[in-house]
Parts: sequence; structure tokens; C-alpha cells
Amino acid sequence: MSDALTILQLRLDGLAEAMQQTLLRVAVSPVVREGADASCALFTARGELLALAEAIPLLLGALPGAVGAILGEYPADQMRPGDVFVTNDPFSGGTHLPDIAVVQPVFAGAALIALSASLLHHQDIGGTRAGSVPPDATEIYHEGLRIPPMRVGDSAGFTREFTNLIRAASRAPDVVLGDLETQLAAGRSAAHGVRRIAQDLGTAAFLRALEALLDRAEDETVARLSALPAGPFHGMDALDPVTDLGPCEAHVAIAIRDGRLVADFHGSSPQVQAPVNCVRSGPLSAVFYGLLTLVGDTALRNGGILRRITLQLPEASVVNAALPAAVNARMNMVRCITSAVLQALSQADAERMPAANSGMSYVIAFSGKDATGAPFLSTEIVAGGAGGGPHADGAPGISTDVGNAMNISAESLEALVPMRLRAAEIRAGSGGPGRFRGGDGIRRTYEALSDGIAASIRGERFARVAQGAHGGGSPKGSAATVIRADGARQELTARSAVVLNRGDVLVIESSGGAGYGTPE
Amino acid sequence: MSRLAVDFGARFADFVAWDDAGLRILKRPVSGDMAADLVAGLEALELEAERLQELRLVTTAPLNALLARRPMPVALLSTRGFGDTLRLGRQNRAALYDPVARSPAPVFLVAPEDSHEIGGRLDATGAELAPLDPADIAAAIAGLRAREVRAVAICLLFAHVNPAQELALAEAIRAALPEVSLSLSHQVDPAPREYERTVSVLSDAWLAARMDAPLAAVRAALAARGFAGELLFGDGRGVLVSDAAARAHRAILLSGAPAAAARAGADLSADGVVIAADIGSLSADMSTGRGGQPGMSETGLLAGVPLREACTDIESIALGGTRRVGTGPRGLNFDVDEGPRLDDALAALGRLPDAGVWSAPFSPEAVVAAAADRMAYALTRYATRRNIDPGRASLAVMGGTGALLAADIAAAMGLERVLLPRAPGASGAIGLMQAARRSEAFARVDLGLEALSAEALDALLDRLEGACDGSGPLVYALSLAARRQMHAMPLILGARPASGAEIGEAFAAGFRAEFGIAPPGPGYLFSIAVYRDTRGPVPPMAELGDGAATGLIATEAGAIWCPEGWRLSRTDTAYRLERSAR
Repeated sequence: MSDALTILQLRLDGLAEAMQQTLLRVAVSPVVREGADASCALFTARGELLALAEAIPLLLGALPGAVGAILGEYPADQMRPGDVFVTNDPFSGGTHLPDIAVVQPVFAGAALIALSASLLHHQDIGGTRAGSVPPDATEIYHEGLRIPPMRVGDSAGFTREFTNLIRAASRAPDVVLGDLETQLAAGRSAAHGVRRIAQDLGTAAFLRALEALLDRAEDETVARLSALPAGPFHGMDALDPVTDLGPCEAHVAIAIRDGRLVADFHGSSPQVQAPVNCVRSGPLSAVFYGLLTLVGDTALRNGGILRRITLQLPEASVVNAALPAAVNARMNMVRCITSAVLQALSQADAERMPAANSGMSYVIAFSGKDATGAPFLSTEIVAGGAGGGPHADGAPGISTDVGNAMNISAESLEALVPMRLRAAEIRAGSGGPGRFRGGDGIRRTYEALSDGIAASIRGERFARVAQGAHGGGSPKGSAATVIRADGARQELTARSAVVLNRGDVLVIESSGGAGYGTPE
Repeated sequence: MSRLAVDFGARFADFVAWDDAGLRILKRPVSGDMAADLVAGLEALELEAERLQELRLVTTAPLNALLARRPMPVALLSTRGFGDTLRLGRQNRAALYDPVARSPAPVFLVAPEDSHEIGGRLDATGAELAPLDPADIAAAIAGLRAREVRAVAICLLFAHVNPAQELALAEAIRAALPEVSLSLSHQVDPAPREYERTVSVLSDAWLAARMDAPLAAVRAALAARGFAGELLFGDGRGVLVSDAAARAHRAILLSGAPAAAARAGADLSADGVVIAADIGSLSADMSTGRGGQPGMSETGLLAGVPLREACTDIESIALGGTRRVGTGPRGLNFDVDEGPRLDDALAALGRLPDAGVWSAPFSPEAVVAAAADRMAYALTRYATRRNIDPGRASLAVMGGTGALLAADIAAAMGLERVLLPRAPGASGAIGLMQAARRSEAFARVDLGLEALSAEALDALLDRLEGACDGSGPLVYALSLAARRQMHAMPLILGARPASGAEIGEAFAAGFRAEFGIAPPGPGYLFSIAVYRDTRGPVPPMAELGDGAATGLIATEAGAIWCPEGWRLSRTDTAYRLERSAR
């Protein structure tokens, strides 16, 4: 086994994973500490992915774009030891504004040998609503501080100008700055590890080995793709229809040509005036994820795989938005794109693929001031059900495809915000029927313990649900309801912002997965 | 007076007895009756139980039962609205790039029909919002009785802050079903996050159902033979704890056996870093050692069950002598139901007796090479995940199967040398012999460091120190975080802290050393444990015999395979297998 290249890949993977663990252990923001909403990676000096931590696949496409944008602004030969770069600009490789990427060059002597990069969902970066994910945003200027690729630090840390900027823009500057420090520390630790490997191998040999690693992963990918039929294979999915918004459809045609996966998204809807658009990192994550499910668990996971992906994206569309589109709630659009991609890939590799999963997750944020007047803010992600099949029922209440966020426990939530989680249950019967049933969704029931709690709810699949496979049925759709203290009921839409007062109850129900095969 | 260490494995029990006169080792097949096997071992070694000073035990029986996902008559009582906590897990999935999403939650620990919700609620401060619902309790008791449940796990929200409701519920169950074993979450794992605490307390109940009866039989058999010494168990940290501690915290029984072998591996790391593999009949356990101590983790994962407690940092793969081998899409693999065993391949190559006719469509050499490759890959991945460069560390291999593969694994990793502990075929029992006896006391604190007065700390430490016997130096093991809601981290102090401020300084220094930044908060102290470790003398290792220089070379227990081109030598505490000079 243990040829030198495999060992090198494992060592680099280990460094990326150590970065990730640092973020998860040290971050203050609950959505990172509890929900694992962060990602870390190492890159070559010219921006090719070297190693990736086991993180949320939704972020797979984020760091390559952010690193590319930083290199576009600050070419490698202009980087200096100790430099710190950041960006959160969705239109320069990012995802949405709370995700700030921190990139640091790794030098061995005078030679730039690698880049470390981390991305972390920060608690608040300004904008019209606490948490910086306003469900009613119609353009990016509503969503918070947009940071283009910038040099913001040196070996002493972040500059005073940058920390002042964060202090001025964020409702939770201490938390954001603390978590940025954590990203900085993770990068420094990785740099130390990379330098040690380079020292062991000799810098020139190390750099040659990195190229060989990328070439090998590319060769493996070509071999895997060459074993698949050429296609094209088509997939399509869409967000719930919203009055006066226009369709939000993702269409993809996947073709395998010359050992290359070409994903053509033309036919997808034009961008809309709602925060559900996604930028290029979204389809890149979806296609990269789809390809990783094909190459197997022993494949080298690096930019060699990315070399074999070609994206063809319509401009100013929901899958490739242009300024000034709002994008904060892009997650469910990425889920749609991923569903479409997996539909297409399942035609190429049918035996391994289950029925469609719920294709959604909720992002729920509670904010306000507690009894002492201190501000609170907590964000959580609630999954739906997995698709049934191909050999068993789907799992209930589980993060699927590009999601892998963890839930927030009642004991953590209630210690943070004046909310009581009355129940966290499997939503029985919400999975689609089938020979293998779709996994059920989740029902979470919250009670407000004080007045004036702002709840931001971003969900999906209220109307349009996943389709069953091979005769299986569709699941129940999502639902969200407020039951006021006086008994009045308010049915919420997929993207809602409500204020909860003492005694109000919020019930969140996620969609299940689709069924597989005709029910017996 | 003698001491005896016994490691009950899946196929064999290893007995190591020692006294001033030396050391004796016995390996016997196990029958499934632990008490009978123990008595038979005592008789075979001609040991009188009444003359035993200590009996040290570990067993892989519960771990293997967990691996087999064997159901036990266990029930779970949880807060109303939270009966699905186990099935929902943390919502994440086990394998990111498997298109079929599978939860890593160990849902097999309790059947859905044995899960009952109980009305009643505490808030985050521990204040009671709603009393326990008597109707729910009565319904649960009826269900427990109807299903003939043997062990009950109770996990109520915020019980770690205020245990009153769990205690009251336990009292009601005990009154109705006195023969049922009860596990309470605030006693087993007094820390926040209900999923993790549910798993901890269910594991304890599952172990009660699986292990209480056989261990009671062991105690009875010993008592009947006049045993008046001390019964000790190897725990997941690679130390020995009292029988009372094992009864109170049964997770010890899960992690003790692999940790005992890891202890033997760690003893080879006095001068540096060791990565170790203990390859037995069913699985291979990997661990690290540094400066003579096993690598530790704040959490463990055993047979798919996450354990939230400090334990030896062990990772296992499905590789062992009885694993069957077959062809898969990427070559030979060891997770098939039909086909020759790894042991058959080793026998065909003369490394084990009783070779039958080899009739597989691949050669035994290919099987051994595939096993060595798989182990080498896993060790490399395990080490690099812990920021250990496998090229700079020493490799240690042990276990009955491991000793026959050690050179192959070293070669697959590109190494010229591999260490094996003394008696590598009985490494668990040897680890038990070498382990320290730990006497410890624990207290939850749950206070910000700024609120911890020097007087209160003094009084607490006086009490904890007073509960520790033995002769070793006192050690202070603190669990704390920068802020209350953050994940706990360990802080080990060799000297008694005088104040919260002193603890804060030590925590900040450790935090900076590990993460390179100041902690993002003033410090919150969850708990303090105080302990002493006491080690006894162990007999010297036997000389190597004058037999052949290569091939199978016998040790005190188990044979080492030394291939052509390699040389076996002995140090004071281990064997060294290295390539001969070319």
C-alpha cells in the first residue's frame, strides 16, 4: 500500500482534519461548535486543492473559489510570510456573507509552498437581521458586510483596521473576532505541519510530490469516469413556487467526455429577487460531491478530481447569480442542484443510488435580548429524511448529500436562548411510501420564554416534494406553524421572519425522503 | 502471595500469574462461562484463590457482543418529547460520500418498543417546571414488566444539573421492580447534551444486562474458593480500578481490554513515540504511546458506540485471524462471510500449525500481503490523524496474529524495524500486569473560575485527596472550557492548585500551547478528579531461546514470525524485529 504518495496524502489530510477539529473545539459560535458549519483545506501555491477535512460537503466548492479569488487579487509572488487574507464575497468565489474564508500562505524559507484555508459560518456580519441571513432580503446589500479578497493581517495577527471594521459591522463582534482568531490559529498550526513535511522531503521534492499527488487523483478520476456511459443524463429539481417570484429551477445535463464530467446547467431559471439564489460555489459543491460519491472511499481526494469537472453555467441564474442578487438562503438551492445532479448520476450508476432525499434543511435563528438586556443569538440546522433504498428504508432526520450539519441539543439551546424545546421527534409517517420507505422528517416544537424573540426561518419543500424512485411515493412536505399564546395559529411560509412572545409555540416540521420501489 | 491478570478474549483467555519467583503464562480456549474458565485457569496454574493477593480482569466479551449488535433486554426512560433522541442522534451521517445516508447513532442499544417517555421537566438551571407524571411512570413500569426488561437506563433533561427527578423516577422503578438494574444518566455521565448522555447511560444499562450475571458468577466462584484479595478491573485509560468503581461505571468493561493491550504498547515508548497495533482474532486495535504513556482521548468510539469519557485513544478495524477473505472490486478484503480465514493463510505459510488444503483462487502469500497492506494503511491514517509522522515514530505490533504479521506490516510501511512487547500473544494480560492501580475521587463543580473561591477549592481538594489511597503522587485532572457552553477540555496538574485564578492561568497556558491563541473566555470548571497511581514490581523478561534465527520463534506467550532477511533480538522489556544488514 503505503507508497510515498499515499502517505503524503494521508499526512496532508491529517493536517486539514486537525485544522477542522481546532475550529470545532474552539469556535464560540454555536452553529460551528454544535452544528459543525465550517470547512478547512490545504492548497498548492497556485490554488489547487491538496487536502480537505471531512466537513459539510455544501462547502466543498467554497474554498477553491475563495482561494482562487485571493490569488487573483494577490498573486503568489506578491505574498509574504505571515500574510493573512480574507474574503466572504459570494461573487468572488464565496458562498454567502456569514462564511468568511481565511487564507494564509505557507513558506519554507523564501519559497511559498502551500496555502492553508478555512471557512467558518460567523454569527453575525451585519445586514438587516441578526444572524445575517435575512429571509426577506432581495439584494446582497441587505445581507451584511461584503468583504472582497483583502490582505488583513501579518504575523502579528489581524490589523487594527480590519478588527475595527468587524467591530463596526457586526452585532456580535467579540464572537466573530474570536472565531476569526481561531481560523488564524488553525492555519498557523497547519503551516507548521506542512513545513515539517517539506523539511522531511526537501522542498523541491515536496513540491514535485504535490504535483504527482494531483496527477494521480486526476488519473484515478479519469479511469472511474471512463467506466461510465457517456450520457447525457438529465436531472431537474426546483424550489417551492412563491407568488410573484418566478420559478427557481435547476436543470442539469451531465455528459462524460474524454474522462471529463461536463455538467451543463443551461435551462436553469434566471436569478430571483429573494435570497435563494446561489453562486458558482453551489453547483461546484454539488458536482464535486457527486463525483466523490463515484470515486470510492480510498480515492485520493484532492484537486486532481476537480481538474476533471467542467461546469457550464448560465449567467445571472439561480445557479450562478450575479450582482446584486441576494444569496443568504442559498442552501436549499444548492440542495436542489445536488438533487438534480444525483438524479442524473443515478442514471449512470443506478445500483448504488437510493431514492431522492428530502432535498431540504431548515436554517433557524433565534435572536433578541435576555432578561438582563444581553443580546442572544443562536442558529440551528434541521434536516429532513433520507431517501429509501436501494436495500433498506431511508434513515429518519438525517443530513443528506451536501449537508452534514449536526443538530443543537435541547440542553445547549435552552442554556443559550430563552426558548424551551418541548419536543424533538421523528415526524412519523412523513417519509414516502415504497418497498423501502423514505426516512421520516423531524418535528421540533419550541416555546418562547420571553417577549420579542426574533425567529428567522428558512426552509423548503413546503409544496414541491421529492419524487419517489422505481414506483415509490413522495414524502409529506415541510410545514412551520406558530401557535400564539392565545391559541391563534399562523401557518408560515418556507422563508419567514416572525416575532415570538412569551407562551408562543413554534412547530417546525421537515419533509421526509422519497420511497423506493412499489410498496408491497 | 501471587497476583493474577486475566484477559478474556473471543477465543482464548490469557492468564499471567506472577510473584517473587517469576512469571507464568497460560492460554486457554474460552467456553463462554467466565467463572468456569477462571476456575479452570486457576487450577491449571495450580493457584489457590485464597493465596491470591490480586486478581486483575479484562474481557472482550461485551465489546464482541456489541460488535455483533446483540440485543439485550434493556429499556430507556426519557423526558416526554425526547423519546427519539437516540434515533435522531446528532443528525449527521457516518460516511460523507456514501450516497446512502446512515446514522452513526447506536440505535441497536434499545428496541423502539422499550423506549418510554415520562412527563416532567427541569429548566437549564435545574429548577422544576413540571413534576414527574405518575401515569407515565405506571405505564412505563407495566411495559418494563411485560417485556421482562433486565436493565433500565434513565436519561431526563438537565439531570446533570439537578438529579432529583432521575432519583425519584429510579425510586419508583426500584419499588416496583426491585430485581431490575438501574442506570442513571447523572451518575454515569454527568455532562450536558442529551444525545451523548443517553448513549452513555444506555451503554451502561446494556452492559448491566450483558455482564452483571457473569461477573456475579465470577465473584461468587472466587468467594467460594476463599479469595480474600482485591478484584481489580482494567479500565479504558489503561489503569486498574476497584471492583466497586467497575460496578458504578460499567463502560470500563467495554474499553478495558483494548486499553490493557495499548498499555503494553505504550510501555515501549519510553524514549519517544510509538504507534501500536494489537491484532487478535476478530479485530485490530490501534493506539499510540508517548513517553511511556498511552495516547488519550476525551471521547472514545467502541464497536460504533461513542463513549464520552477519557480513555485510551483507540481505533479499531475489522482485521484478525478469524476474518474471512474474499475478492472485492479493489482486491482482497476481509469483510466477507465465505472464504478462507487469515489464520488459514498463515497456517498454509507455516506460521501456524494445522494447515489444511489451500484451495482459494488466490495465494496465501497474497492474503498475508493484503492483511499487512490493510494494517499499514490504517496505521498510517491513524497516526497522521493525530499529527504523528509514521516515519518518525516506532512501530509496535502485538496480539497472537500481530506477532505473525509484524515484519510484513513494517515492510508495507517502509520501516526497517518493529517492536513487540514481551509475550506478544498475551499482550492484554501483560498490559494488565504492567498497569498501575488508580485510586481516585471525582466531584462536579460547574462554576466559572472567577466564582470559585480559594476556600471552596481548598475544601473540595481536601475531601478528594482524602479519598485517594496508595503511594503515588497526587494528580489533579480538571475538565474545563473557556466558556460554559463550549466543549470540555482536560487539564492535568501535577501540583495542587490554590485558586481559580491559578487554574485559569494553567488552562490559558495549555490552550495557547495547543491552539496558539488565548482562550475565548475566562474559564468554566466542570469537574475535578484527584487520583494516585501505584505500580508494583514485575518480573524480568525471559531470554530468547537458542532455536532457529528465522521462522517461528517462541516467546513467553505467542510466537513471532521472523522472515528470511530479518533478525529478532531482545531488549530488557521488548523484542526487536529488524531487517538484517545487507
